[in-house]
Amino acid sequence: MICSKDQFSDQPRQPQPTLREIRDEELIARVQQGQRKPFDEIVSRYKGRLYSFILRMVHEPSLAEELAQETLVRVYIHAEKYREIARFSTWVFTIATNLVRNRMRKRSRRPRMLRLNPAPDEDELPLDPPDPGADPTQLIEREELGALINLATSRIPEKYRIPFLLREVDQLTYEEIQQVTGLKLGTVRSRINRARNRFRQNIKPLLKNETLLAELERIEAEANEDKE
Amino acid sequence: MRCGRAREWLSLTMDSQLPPDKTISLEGHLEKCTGCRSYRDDLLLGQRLLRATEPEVSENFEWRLQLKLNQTLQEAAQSATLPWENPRWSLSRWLGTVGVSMAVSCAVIVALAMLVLPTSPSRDPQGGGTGPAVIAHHDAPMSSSSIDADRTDRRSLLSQNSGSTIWPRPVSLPNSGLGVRPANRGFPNSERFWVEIRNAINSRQAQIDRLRQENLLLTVERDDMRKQLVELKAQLDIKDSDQLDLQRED
Repeated sequence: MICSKDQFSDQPRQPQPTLREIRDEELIARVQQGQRKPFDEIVSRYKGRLYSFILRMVHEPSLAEELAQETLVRVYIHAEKYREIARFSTWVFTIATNLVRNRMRKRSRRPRMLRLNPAPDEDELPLDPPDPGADPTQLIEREELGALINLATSRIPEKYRIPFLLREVDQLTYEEIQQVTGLKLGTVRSRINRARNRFRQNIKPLLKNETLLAELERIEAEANEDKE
Repeated sequence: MRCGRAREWLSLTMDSQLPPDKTISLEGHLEKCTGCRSYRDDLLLGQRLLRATEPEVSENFEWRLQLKLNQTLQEAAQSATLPWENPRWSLSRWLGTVGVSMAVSCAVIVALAMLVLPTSPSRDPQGGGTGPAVIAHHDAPMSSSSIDADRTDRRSLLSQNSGSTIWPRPVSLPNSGLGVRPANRGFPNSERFWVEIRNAINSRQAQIDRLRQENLLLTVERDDMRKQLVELKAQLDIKDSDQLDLQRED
């Protein structure tokens, strides 16, 4: 970047930061002023996080995509309502959480289909990881691993799952989770603790798989390479 | 320390929520208890698994977001109502805001008209007396140079005829946007002036009616395009779900 001198002084002019270097709160302030490009940067930063959080709540990719888009549309339409009292991520995830809750409430009101010979409830079935005894060298594929983790997450009750995902995946602080969910701080702590315990129980069969750690380290190494 | 308490504190220490003194006693317990150490390792591994297996968003996410955003903005624009169509609108509120401002602007216009319009007949500087007004049709608004010319003429006229009492030459009315201006000499022929005003209003009304018809046609066209968009979206969704099914089968 070429630095030219300021016309009013001999000091070299500071290069303008790119949109990627600007923090979220500054980006939304520019959107409030009517600029559109900062919103594109907000979309690229949040689409993955929102989709991941919502998918692990609703377990339907098309619905998760729809709700993630609805969240971003509402962020744009109601941008002027954001005030820098809380972090921007807190505001975005509050919108997403409310949308997810409303949708799951609607879903629970629908009458369940009766089956004559009902299969055992999904919560009672243990996770079925690949049998390491048959071929210990068999690697767990990433997609298979992802599906197992999503299944393990789905078995955590919804009221524990929301604060759990916001903490573990989106790395919001306890105070931010308190603002997003409207729960007391003590409740947030206890629900995260219970969700972690439940998640551990759900993935316990997986933890015995010898190749799991190798696959996990491979995935983490790839992710670090992509970041660099 | 009991293991139940230690496991609660383990969750807090992962998020740096445990005070330092409790952290020390927890570490002391972990040195002695293999069960809690194993529990801690499982929690950390679970955290790594969650973060490593985050699902990826589809490639056409942003394109669909753009469609959804445009649709929402269009719907918001259409649902915007005129004030009197809003059930919460009340006459008193309207009088309080719009009414007062309209009253003030009307008063200003009347005051300007009284200042600008001539109050008595003026002598024709060329000796022709007051004649019938000549109403000229002008499409372009009155330029500042012509206004300045009038002022200059008035000043020079006054200076030439110093010593005798003459009426100041009337200043022509500014262009009202209707393409009509009264004459520069004497009083305007009021009857003809207002006839011309009426004709101009009628022609504008016809123009407005024509624009309304065009607007209706464009609205119909827009609705057709919206229906096409919905159909295309539905086709795209079907295609995506078919692809998902194929992937699952694989």
